[in-house]
Parts: sequence; structure tokens; C-alpha cells
Amino acid sequence: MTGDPHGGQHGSPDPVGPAGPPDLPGSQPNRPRDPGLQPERTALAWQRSGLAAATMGLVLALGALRQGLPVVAVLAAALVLATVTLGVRGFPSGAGRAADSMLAAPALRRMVAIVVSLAALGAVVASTAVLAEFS
Amino acid sequence: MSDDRAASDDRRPRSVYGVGSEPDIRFSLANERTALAWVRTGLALIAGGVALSTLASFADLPLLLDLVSMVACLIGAALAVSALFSWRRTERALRLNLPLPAPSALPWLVGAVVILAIALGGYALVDALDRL
Repeated sequence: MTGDPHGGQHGSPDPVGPAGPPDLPGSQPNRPRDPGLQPERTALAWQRSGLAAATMGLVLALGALRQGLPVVAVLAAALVLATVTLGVRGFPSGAGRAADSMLAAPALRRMVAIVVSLAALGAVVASTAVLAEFS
Repeated sequence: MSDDRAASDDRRPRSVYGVGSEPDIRFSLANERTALAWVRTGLALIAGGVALSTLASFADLPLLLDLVSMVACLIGAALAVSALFSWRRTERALRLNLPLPAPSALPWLVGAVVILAIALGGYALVDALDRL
């Protein structure tokens, strides 16, 4: 994208494109549909982030089991469950997502917490192996 | 309508939603996607780290691989946390109509990837010389 994001369009409540069907499930009434499909793209970004985190947790759980760290494996499996729960209940979504129904901050915080926990578990697996080298 | 929204605005954190005015929602959504892309970048580093530590369990020089794996996991966590903070800063700037902050995590990410690449390249070289 080129240009200053604070140029012409920024801040103006511009009605873009034709209004969508008024009674789509989850859509706000009287809200024009964004032809750039930004809410949809954002929902997809949430979904693939969640999918990546859940897959990561599964791989980590299997790897930890393989290296004889069942506690880490159970924790990783719990993170997979947490990610799925967050995905089912907490991801901001909806074609007509309105600014005032935004759940971005809490969902983002939970997502970051999950990723940091995955990283911690991965570091535990690696450091256990390093310690085993020396003993 | 905007008074109505301001009155019922109890979104958290207040340090973001308590300032400025409501930006065009497309900018907020783009900011959110950028943060998620950073989170996934962090996840990719963690995935690489976990893959390496699995590989290390049957490699010849496991110590180096395990160290690289640990560093990759920690950088991944740091990137995810930095995504959260840069999302806040950007959202604040959008609401206050200020210039957007620079992507400060980017040079760190590039540096870290280069260092990890050099370490793994060194590992490959040592391993190859070992087999001669």
C-alpha cells in the first residue's frame, strides 16, 4: 500500500460500497459492507493464527512425549484445548463487525499468552536436553 | 451517535480506548491483522525451535541444536509480546491521528534470524567436516 494512512480517508466515516443485505446473521444493521472484505480477512487471520497455535501445541505435546517429558506434554495439550476454546468462543468475527463490539484487545492478549506459554514449554524441552547433555 | 458510543464505551485497555476518537474501522482491522501476523511469525520461530529440538534427539551434535532451539523459542515469545505492545501503540496513534510508530521489532527479528541462520550454517559445516 502506498500513501499516508492519515490522508484523505482516515477518520472519515466513509460509507464504502453498496449496503449489504440488512439481515445477514451477525451483521450490524445499517452498516455498509466493506468491499475490501476487511472484517472477513481479519476473521481469517484470527482463524489461521489459532490453527497455527493449536497445531504447534499438538506437535509440542507429541515431541515432549517422545522425549519422556509427560508433564510438558499434558501442559501442551491443555494449551491446544485453550486455543480451541478461544477460537470457538472468543475470536472477533463477523462480516459486519462493528467497532463497538470489538474484542480485539482481550482476544489478542489471550493469544499472546498462549504463544508465550508454547514458547516456554518449547524452551523447557530444549533446556532439558541441554542439561541431559551435561549429566 | 458518536456520543452514544462514547458513553457506552467500556472497552479495555483504557489507555487505548480512552483517548482520541474512533478511527475508520478498516484501519483498526488492519492493525489487528498486523499484530496477528507478528504472532504467527513468533509461532513460526517456536515451531522451528521445537522441530530442531526433536531433530537434536538423534543428531550428532545435539548441544548446539538444543541451544539454537532454545533461543528460537525465546525470540518467538518475545515477538508475540512485542506484537501486543505495538498493537496498542498503533491503535493509540490511530485514535489520536498521530503518525504511526515505526515497526521496532523488525530489525530485531532480522538480526535474530541472521544469527540463527549463521549458527545453523556453522552446525551444517561442522557436521559435514565431521563426516569427511
